[in-house]
Amino acid sequence: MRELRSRPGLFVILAFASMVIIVLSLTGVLAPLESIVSVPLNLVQGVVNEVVTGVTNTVTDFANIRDLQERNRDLERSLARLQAELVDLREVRHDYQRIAALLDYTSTAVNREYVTADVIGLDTSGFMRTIYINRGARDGVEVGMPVVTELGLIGRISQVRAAASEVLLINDPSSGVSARLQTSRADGSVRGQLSGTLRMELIERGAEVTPGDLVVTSGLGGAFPPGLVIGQVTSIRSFEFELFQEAEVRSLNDFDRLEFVLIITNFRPIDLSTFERPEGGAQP
Amino acid sequence: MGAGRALPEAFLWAFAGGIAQDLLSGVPLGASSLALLLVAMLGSLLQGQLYRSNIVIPVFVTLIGSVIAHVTVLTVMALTGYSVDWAYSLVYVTAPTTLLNVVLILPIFLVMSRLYERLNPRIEAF
Repeated sequence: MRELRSRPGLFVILAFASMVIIVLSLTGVLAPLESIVSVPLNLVQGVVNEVVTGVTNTVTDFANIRDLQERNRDLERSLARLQAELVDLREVRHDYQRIAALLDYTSTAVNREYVTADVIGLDTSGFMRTIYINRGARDGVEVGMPVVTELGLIGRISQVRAAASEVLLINDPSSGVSARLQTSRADGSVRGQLSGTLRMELIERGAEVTPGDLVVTSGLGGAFPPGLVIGQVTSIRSFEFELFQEAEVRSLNDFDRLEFVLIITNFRPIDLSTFERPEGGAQP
Repeated sequence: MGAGRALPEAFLWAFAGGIAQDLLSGVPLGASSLALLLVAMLGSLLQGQLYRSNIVIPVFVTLIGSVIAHVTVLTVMALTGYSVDWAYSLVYVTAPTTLLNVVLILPIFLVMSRLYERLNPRIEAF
């Protein structure tokens, strides 16, 4: 009972003391005392704060690790997706560049009609230098039509099927193209070599040939239209005891990496055999 | 909170703790002491039965006590010239703190009630 009686008294005393402290504190009387008492309290507060901050940071770090792991997984998934997309876009860009180059090429050759074709195969025998394209008789492709890229001549149609054709490349040993040096206008014949390179033969001896000269089709023989770029002269072989010079020609095309080609469809090779005289026959 | 015969001690702790709390905060020195004394007085109304009672009572006391403590401090601040945004303080400070206190009182109640029973075992009458 005594305790119960003392309870309100203590409460009133302490409450009154609190109110006095409030007033004294507001008037600044307790400022020196507050400063002194605050020192150890602030020290304790600093330690506690450091501990709490450390714990909080640790917890936050763990939480961040999970977030970072999750984010890392998301980024890896995004990266994989974007890499696949990048590959696709690179292919599209490459195709675009190639087609744009082809279009630019076609725009410079105003009187020619082209059919674009994809290269769908290479000769697997190893004996011939041919490629297969996805255009055939249905597309108006005929045997003998020249096949070019934006970098120049690559060959001619050697076989035609309904939806595909075979192209005999100009670097095949059986291929021969009537050619002309662009600067000296000297004629010759570009033939494929076993090594896959090109050689211009039958260049008249007095003709000036220098490395870097551009070699184009001459149109002689009627197999190709004139003016198609074949390649550039890289070296010359000339001997005094020979009647003709020879020049190594490097095509601007990489025949092993052809993807798109153009077929010149409005050019048909001329069959010169109609001008041949029958053996022993008299002229009409 | 004060309990049973330890109530005077609880008042002293409320006073001292309030002073320490105010020294570490920006509220007027003595405001928290007054608030905690009121809460201790509220606890004293249970006359030491806080940890022997139903869990609803501690939760209720915690809820009311938290509100009283905050309102007391805010009142002191307002009376001593501090600018008090009552709505903001009650919604964004008092309400979350009260909720947290109510949540925390549940495990505290379980621990304290068992401790209290161990220290003050009931005598069975034959």
